[in-house]
This record gives sequence, structure tokens and C-alpha cells, in this order.
Amino acid sequence: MARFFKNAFSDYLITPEDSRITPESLLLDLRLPWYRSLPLSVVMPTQLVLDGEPLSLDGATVSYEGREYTLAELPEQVGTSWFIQDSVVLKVPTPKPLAAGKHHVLLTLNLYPPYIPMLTHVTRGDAQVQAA
Amino acid sequence: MTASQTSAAAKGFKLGSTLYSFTNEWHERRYGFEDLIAEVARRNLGPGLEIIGFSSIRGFPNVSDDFAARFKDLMAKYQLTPSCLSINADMAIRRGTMMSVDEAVAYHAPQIEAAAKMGFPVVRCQFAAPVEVIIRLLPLLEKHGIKIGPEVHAPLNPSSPPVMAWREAYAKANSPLLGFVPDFGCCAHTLPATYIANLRRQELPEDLIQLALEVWQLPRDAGWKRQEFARRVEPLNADPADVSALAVMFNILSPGTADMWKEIMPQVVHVHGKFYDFDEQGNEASIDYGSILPVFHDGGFTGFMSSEWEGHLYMRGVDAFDMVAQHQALARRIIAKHTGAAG
Repeated sequence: MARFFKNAFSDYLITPEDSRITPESLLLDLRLPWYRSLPLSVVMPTQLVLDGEPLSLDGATVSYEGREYTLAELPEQVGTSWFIQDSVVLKVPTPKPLAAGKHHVLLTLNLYPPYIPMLTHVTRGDAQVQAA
Repeated sequence: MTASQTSAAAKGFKLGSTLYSFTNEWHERRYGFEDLIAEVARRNLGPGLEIIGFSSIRGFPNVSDDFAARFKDLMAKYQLTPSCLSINADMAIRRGTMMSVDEAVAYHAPQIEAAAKMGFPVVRCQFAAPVEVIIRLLPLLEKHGIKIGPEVHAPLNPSSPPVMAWREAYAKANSPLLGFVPDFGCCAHTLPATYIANLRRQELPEDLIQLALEVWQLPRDAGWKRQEFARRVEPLNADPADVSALAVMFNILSPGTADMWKEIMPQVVHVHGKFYDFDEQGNEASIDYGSILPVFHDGGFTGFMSSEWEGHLYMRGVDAFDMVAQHQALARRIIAKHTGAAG
């Protein structure tokens, strides 16, 4: 699981320098792993591993263009396109504050490209993120 | 284009670029939209310029008057010609359901309006929408004089069932605006060696790589290949991210011949000159341009071929502008040799 797989369109799924850790949550800056803007309705974070241990995505949200969506709300967002040159921020609550220093984050993200019906494209990326 | 313009056009197709070739430069945020266009012009990679609406334009298909005017100014300033706007048939925008024909017509219409506003004479559409959608849009296309064609992309070819369905519908509709956009990725004789080497460098499991390469060779469509690959890897308990990474090969290149394009040559409205890598002689490593381009030249195609570099999928630190320049040099070499021999 620790193996870092570069997704096809970007070396980064998580941009380390733009991600951070607060006492309450991980704030991960995500780059779209596709070559065209996609509606948020076809984007879904599915799995997160923090320092080798699974971290639940319960309560996680995705923020884009000043709005914050729960993961359950994402499939409804057919009118909001994630533009290629923008990041979205995935916020994942942590049960307790993380120790200062770097933490390893491994994220799996599913895309369902809407012009290729039936395709589920699974990508994964990792980053070392600094906790203050 | 009117009949008189067609007959006045010089024999031979024209070259150009699609901004898709510069996906890495764009994705990594090293270039803005206008920077990319300026660089295409500076490197003489036109005159044709193709863009993907949903890739290059924030807020697409909404295109403001200011944006359209600025785009036209840039085309004039850099002496580039809008060749094709690639649009999308996002039929599954609601996961688990497909758009109705009415919804799909409504989804396509503003994208065609955007093409008209920006001055694109051709629109590339996709087979994901049924041909009925495009027939329903014919009045809008006629209003603007815009040609349209779905991309005949790997693993399809001009005789594949989905393409045949469109050809039959076109025969009934009988409009010169209805055509096809060949993509040369479905004329591959192999996968690029550098592509396969990269799979190994990514440390994908060798048994999965071998299974994927076996399935790639089979003469079936991509959906079937993805399923067949999934079936074969199931006992191996493979990582879904690995399976997705390998399944990409089924959709990017497929085996085919140059002659197969003759069947639809009069309906070709635009071409995607897909390429990945070059051999030591400057020939494309997996697509035989030497046999393909003469077929289009002799077939009377006079539109644009966009140089479409897709090596960005797995190559890093490569100058995409230089790759496009090499591709266009190859095309010029082949046509010069062909016409010299013919003349």
C-alpha cells in the first residue's frame, strides 16, 4: 500500500506544500487527476490512510469555490465543474490532534468520467504533510 | 465551407496543434491559456488551433462576450486559425443514470453555441451520445455553419458497430455538416516501448502487466477489454488502482490500418494526429504515419490535422512543444516524399 503510484495526468494528487494539518483535521489540497474539468458529481474520495492506519472519511468535506460539500452531497453537484488549474480542499476530521511533525497521507480517489459510462477510474496519491 | 471554397482550396490537409498536447504544462499550472497560445505561435506549431472546451475554458460551456472577443483577437494577433472545438457528451453526469436524448440535446447546444461564438468551424463530439442527439442539433449547426463529428478513437474503427450506426443515420440525414474525426491512435501496430517501460518503472506487478498486454492484442472494444482484464485479474486480488492504471492502455491505442479510413474519407471533418514517441529515424514509434498520411492526402482531405501528443500521460520533463514540432516535421517529410513521388 505504501507504493506511490503517479496518476496519469499529474505527479500530485495531494499537493504537499499546500496541504496542512490543524488540531481538528487534515486539510488536503487535491489536484484533479484528469485532463479536463469534471463535475464534482463524478468525483469521490474513497479511502484514506494516515501513517499506515486507515482514517475514516466520516464527516469529511470537499471545498471548492467557497462552498463546502459533504461527500454524500458530491453526486448531486452536476453543475459545478472542478477546473483543471484549481485545487479542491478535502477536509478530514482527526479523532485527536496529531503530533507535531510530518505525517504520511495516502488517498484513494475515484473518478467516474461522465462521457465514458461504466468506467470507474481509481487513482491514488500520497504526501508528507506537516502538522504544526 | 461552400463548394467553391472547397474547390479553391489547395490540395492537401493543413497542420495545427491541439492544446491537449500541452496537458502537462497546463496541468502543472506553468502556463495560462494565453501563454499556451502564444507559445504555439512562437514555435510555429499552427496554423490550426484546437482546444477542449472543458479543459481550457473556465466555466465552459459558458463563454463570455469578452472571452470570445479576446480569443478572436489572439487568433488574429498570432495568425492562428481556430480549427476544432472538442466538446463532451457527459451522458453519465449523474452517476448510475444516463441522460435522456432531450437532456443530451440541451447539454450539447450551449457547447455548439460556444464554438460559434469563438469562431470554430468544426466541433468534435463523442459516441457516448446517441446519433439522434446530433441529428436533433442539425438546425443549430446549420444556423452557424458548423461541422460536427464524433471522434473515431481507439479502440473503435470506421467499421465498428457504434460507428456503423452513425454512418447509417448520416446517410438518412444527408447533410454535409455531419462527419467524423479520425484519431490515429486506432492505427497502432504496437504500444510504445517507452510506455510499457514506464509501467514497469511504476512497479506495477509484472503478472498484471503481462495480462493487460495480452488483452490489448485482442480485437475487441475497450469496455470488453476492461471487463476481460478485470475477469482475468480477479483471482490475483489486484489493487484496483493498479487495474485502473493498466486499463488505460485499452482506451488510448488499438490495432488498425491506414486503408480502413477510406470508407469514411469524404466525411472526415477534422483529424487528430495522435502520437506518443519517435524512433531514431524520427518516425512515430507505434503509429505508421508513412502509410496513413498519403491516404488522407490522396483521399482529398483538406481540413486540419491537429498534432495531438499524448506521451504526457507518462513522460515528464519532456518539452511538449518540441514533440509537436517533431510530429509536424514528420508529417511534412511524408507528404513531401509522397507528392514528390506522385508528381
